[in-house]
Amino acid sequence: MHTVILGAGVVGYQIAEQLIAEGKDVVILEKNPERAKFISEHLDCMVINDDGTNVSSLKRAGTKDASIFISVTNSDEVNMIACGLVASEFNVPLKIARVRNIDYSKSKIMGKSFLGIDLIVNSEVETARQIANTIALGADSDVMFFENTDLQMRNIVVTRGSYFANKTVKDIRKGISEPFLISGIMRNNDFLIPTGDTIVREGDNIYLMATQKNFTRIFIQVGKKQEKIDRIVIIGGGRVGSLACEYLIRTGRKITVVETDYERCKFLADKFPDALILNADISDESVFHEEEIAKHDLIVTVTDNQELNMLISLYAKSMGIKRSIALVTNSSYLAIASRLDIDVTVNPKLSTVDAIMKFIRRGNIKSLHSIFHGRAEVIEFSVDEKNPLVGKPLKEMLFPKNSIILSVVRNNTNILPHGNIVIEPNDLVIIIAEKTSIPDLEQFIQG
Amino acid sequence: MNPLLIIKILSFLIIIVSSFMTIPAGIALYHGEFHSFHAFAFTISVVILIAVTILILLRHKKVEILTTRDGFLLVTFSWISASIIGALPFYISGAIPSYTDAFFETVSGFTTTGASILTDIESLPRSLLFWRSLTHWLGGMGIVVLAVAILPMMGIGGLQLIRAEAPGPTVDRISPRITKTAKTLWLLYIGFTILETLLLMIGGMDLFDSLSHTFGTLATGGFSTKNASVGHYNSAYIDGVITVFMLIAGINFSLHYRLLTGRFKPLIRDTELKAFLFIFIASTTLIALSLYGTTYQTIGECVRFASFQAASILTTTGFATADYEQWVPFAHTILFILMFVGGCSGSTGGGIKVVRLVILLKQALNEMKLLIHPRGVFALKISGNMVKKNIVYAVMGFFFLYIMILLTVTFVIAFDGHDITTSFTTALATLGNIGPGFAKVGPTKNYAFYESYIKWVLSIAMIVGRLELYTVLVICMPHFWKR
Repeated sequence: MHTVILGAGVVGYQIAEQLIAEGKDVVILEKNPERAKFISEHLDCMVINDDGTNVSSLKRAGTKDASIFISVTNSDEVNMIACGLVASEFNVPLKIARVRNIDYSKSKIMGKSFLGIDLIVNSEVETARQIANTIALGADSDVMFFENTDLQMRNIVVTRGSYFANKTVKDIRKGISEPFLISGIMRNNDFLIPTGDTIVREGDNIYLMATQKNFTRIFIQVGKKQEKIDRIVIIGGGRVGSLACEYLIRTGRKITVVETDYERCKFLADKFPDALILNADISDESVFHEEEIAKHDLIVTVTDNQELNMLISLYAKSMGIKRSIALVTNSSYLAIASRLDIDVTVNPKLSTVDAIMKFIRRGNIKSLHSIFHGRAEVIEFSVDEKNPLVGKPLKEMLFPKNSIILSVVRNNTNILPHGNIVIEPNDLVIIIAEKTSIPDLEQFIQG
Repeated sequence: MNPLLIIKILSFLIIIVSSFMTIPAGIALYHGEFHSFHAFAFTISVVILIAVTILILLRHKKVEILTTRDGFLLVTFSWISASIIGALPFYISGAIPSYTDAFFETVSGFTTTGASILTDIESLPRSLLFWRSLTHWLGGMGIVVLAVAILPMMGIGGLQLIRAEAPGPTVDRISPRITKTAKTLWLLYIGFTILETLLLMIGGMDLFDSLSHTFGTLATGGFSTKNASVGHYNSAYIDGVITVFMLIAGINFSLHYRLLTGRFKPLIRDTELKAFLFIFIASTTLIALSLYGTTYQTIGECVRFASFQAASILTTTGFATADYEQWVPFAHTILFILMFVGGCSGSTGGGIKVVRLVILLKQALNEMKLLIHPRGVFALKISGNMVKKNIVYAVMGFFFLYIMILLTVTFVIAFDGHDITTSFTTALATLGNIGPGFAKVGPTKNYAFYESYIKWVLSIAMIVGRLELYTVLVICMPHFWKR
């Protein structure tokens, strides 16, 4: 059983990459010959250079025996028709389509039966949801969730005078009573997995792992205040901005939306009578003073212009806004954004990938996530009796370079690893490793 | 512009109006009022003769699509010609010896004003009393709406006509075809008429009186067949029934239609209805409180008279159950303020209309918000829908014109030497199609004392008010006649 992916844009590529890494067979249908060539050179999968809207090419892709069909081309219509075609010609259990233009979360016709599509992913809705979720969690860092555990990963940029600066990981851990783990450090575009003796430096972007409850306490102890977010300004009233406004206004927060297009402003004013809609160009600096933008607790920049989004987020923070969220469409900018003083970046493509992967995985125990923009991977695996890891305390094990156990799940409870823990059979172990260490790690855990 | 076509349609229209005269003619025959019968028969035959001649002469003139400008002309002239013809029976029968007075009385009837020049109403023949009330009923839902409902050829361009006649800033279509919409509205109107007539007859009125009062109520007119108006019956039941039906008539008829077809949601969502009911309840409460212990001694009486008078003035009906000029000044003030409000859009009521005031209020609030946030964009919502800017501008223009006309008419009356209360409330009561005012035109008095030139001015004011200013005023613009 394999997966057929129609359209090898960023979303298709990322999904294929993750599925292949999980050991699944993937067939990609891509119309553009150059892109098809690129994919076949970079991914271990079958690439068919053809349109997905005819039965013969779908047949060639082996759709007949596929278990999942994912259509993520640039065109909504192609995605829906391809899924409809698959639904009527083949018997594929799971059909997923990316549709940008329909706010499916509200639409009733988008039930299970619509063209036989099982999941319609709207990248804008996913992005807006992600924005709302991050804000619900405090918007102080990127938040990553894991299945089967309530642990989450968040990042902190170490600034001058920060609690974390110029200390070894051991010392940092001594000062904080709550269980947590420094699972990774981004330093000068390198990703490294710290050991107890690694020294955290200024400018490092450190990734912490803990439960949501403990994060709150940890942040209090290190003096990073959990800011109250009541007043939010959204720059850009496009679809993402409007959806984010819709989700956020329900939480009773005060929302200001800044949008350049007057007609769009009127639409927003009609839709959100409780929000303040401003018809202004945010790059006109006087708006900041006139409307006291800096008095807001959070700025969400979701215009079509990603450079402007990043710039405005930075400027707003320099003006005194406590938190910022920026929409960055180009994934290569994500690395840049993570080095800047932008608290959270959202990416519609990655949000779409996440949504699709989450749907495919549903309850699938063994999984693998590609995180930190593909530089590291998180592997979850269950341990059987013959496994070489069983029976030894953690500190006696020699893990490959740049890999670390993030968590051990035993009887549905999470154990944050410490030196004396002994792995038992049937434990679920979550390991993070830098990408280059994966082959070594695979060997290590298989003995 | 297409004058021949307008004349042709006008001929149809006056045939419809004069054919309604057969009912009072029948009554005249039944009661042996030969003067009146003669007047009606003469009017009907002359009008039909002229109209049929015009129709025969213009038989080759095809009915084309009416332009917006044709609509304004046609509607204005249909009201004027209906009034001219409607006044004839009063004049010919000799019941009202002056044609100015007869015309005033008829305009007051068709425009549902209810201002009268009659000192002794009860001395009028019954057939003429009935015709007087019937003009209310015809004018209430609109003569043109009636024509559109009856004449299938008016389907094209009918919306233009109804828009020129309909009360309120916008016209609700309750069915895809305008003739069907007009028909539905009239059927609804007839249904309410039958219901109220029956309820009044249960209360002890005879058929003649209950029909006449029903016409006056549902059209928000105010002509009664008694000198003491509804107060003549001195019955709490009759007061109650009329209060309820005045309110019904003051509410948008398309809402009634939606309610009857089982849709409650538009009713709950309707901003105008909520504002209308709020104004009614608030003013009733305030008047009742001010009357308690001063004019009336029991709470029941206070509520009965306060609610009747508040509904009567608010919906621009103009019935009276009490001489409210004897009430405390505070109650006067509230009634005076209510004269500025009027009914809902799409109702038979006159005045500025509740929805316009709500739009003005919301716009004013938005203007203030705009001062705080100069770049802000604020929606003006009525019943959950955004109001378009051009409607807001039209409403603002309407309000300004309304006040200007009010002041002009006041000026004309004051010029003849009348006091400010009389002058201003006369202007208010005629332009708003209310009927009674204060001082010399109070509820127990009438308009007979005015000079005849003032009566003509007031007649024009009533038509201008009934046709919502723009329809008549636009014809007076030089721009209208250019090109």
